Amino acid sequence: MNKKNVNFYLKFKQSQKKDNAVSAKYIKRIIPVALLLLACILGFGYLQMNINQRTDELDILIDYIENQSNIDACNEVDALDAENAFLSVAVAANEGEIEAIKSYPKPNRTVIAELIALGSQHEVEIAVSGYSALSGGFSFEATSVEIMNINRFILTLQTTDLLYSVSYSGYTFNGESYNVHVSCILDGGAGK
Amino acid sequence: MKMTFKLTKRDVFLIYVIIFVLVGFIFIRYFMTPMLDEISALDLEIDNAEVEQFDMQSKIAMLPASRKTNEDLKKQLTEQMIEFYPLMESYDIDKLFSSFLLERGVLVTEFSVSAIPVKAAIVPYMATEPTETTGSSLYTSYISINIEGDYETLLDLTSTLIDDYPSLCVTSYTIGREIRSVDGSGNAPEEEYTTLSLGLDFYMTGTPEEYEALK
Repeated sequence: MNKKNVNFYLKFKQSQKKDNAVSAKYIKRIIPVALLLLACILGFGYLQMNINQRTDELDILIDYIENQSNIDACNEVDALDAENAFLSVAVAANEGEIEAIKSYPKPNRTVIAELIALGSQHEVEIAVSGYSALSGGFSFEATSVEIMNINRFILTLQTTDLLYSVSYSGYTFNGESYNVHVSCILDGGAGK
Repeated sequence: MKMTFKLTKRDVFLIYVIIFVLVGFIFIRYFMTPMLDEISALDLEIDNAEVEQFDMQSKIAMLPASRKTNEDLKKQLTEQMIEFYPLMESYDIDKLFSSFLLERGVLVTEFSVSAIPVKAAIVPYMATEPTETTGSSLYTSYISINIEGDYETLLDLTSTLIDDYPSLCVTSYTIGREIRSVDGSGNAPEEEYTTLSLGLDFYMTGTPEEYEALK
């Protein structure tokens, strides 16, 4: 028997060398596949993580949006806004109308007292006849024993702030005194 | 004859590449694309939800201010309307005036009031166009009264109505004197009577619902 043929160690070494070569060949082929699978798994994991993150984010948002107290608060704001719009229009309209009412002169005792005071300066008596808010017209009868007193009184009236304009149409004499019907337009601030 | 099928190194490499590409394609087509689509859909939903949340947050943040505005406007409206009478029927207006005039000891010879109030359209003094009435809660009844009494009492009465009743507007008055017999027959002695013709706008306030109920 050849001595060489019975060297088991050598045989073992040779067989191991051959196995290593086969393993290296397979490993070489498996690595790219393994890498590809790893990339797929990582990619899948990354995407799934993104989905989970977004789902959580969306859940938080939906929780807020569907929260009954938040919905009630929003409904209350909507209702209040609608009511406030209505009230604002009402307040503005009422304000305008109140201002319009207040814009009219007040042909009251104050105005009459001032006219009487002016008349007494010229020995003229006055008696109120009427007033019309539409035109602002205020009329009265002026009476005096002297016609010149009435003329002076009319001139004084034309300078007063109470009246916007003064007009009269002649006079009558009843044997004792002169009588003039005076028509004025009251100033907007009269009597206030 | 025996058929043998032997793969060359090149064939193996090609199959290997095909499998590689196929795995990649399957992953992209059946995993990645749907997931990316889902991410896009979620992003869109998140965007919409964020917009909605922002709107809600803005509204909720506005709530205290809206409540305050509402309170202020209601207070303002109440203050504006405090001087005006509530909407009332013509017979209630009649009652109100009758008692007022009786207290002053004058004789009312004629009283008329519009049956149904109308929406107030007030023309400011010396203007030609009325104010905007949309939304206004003011209504007017027109009143006409003829009264007899002494001159000073009638002047006082007119002045009181002008000064002390902001819900009234004296639109006209005429003070006249007429001489007639005491009993009106013409045989009795004659006396001088002072007469006052008053035209008034009586302003009331109410909601459109109250006005509809009155009509």
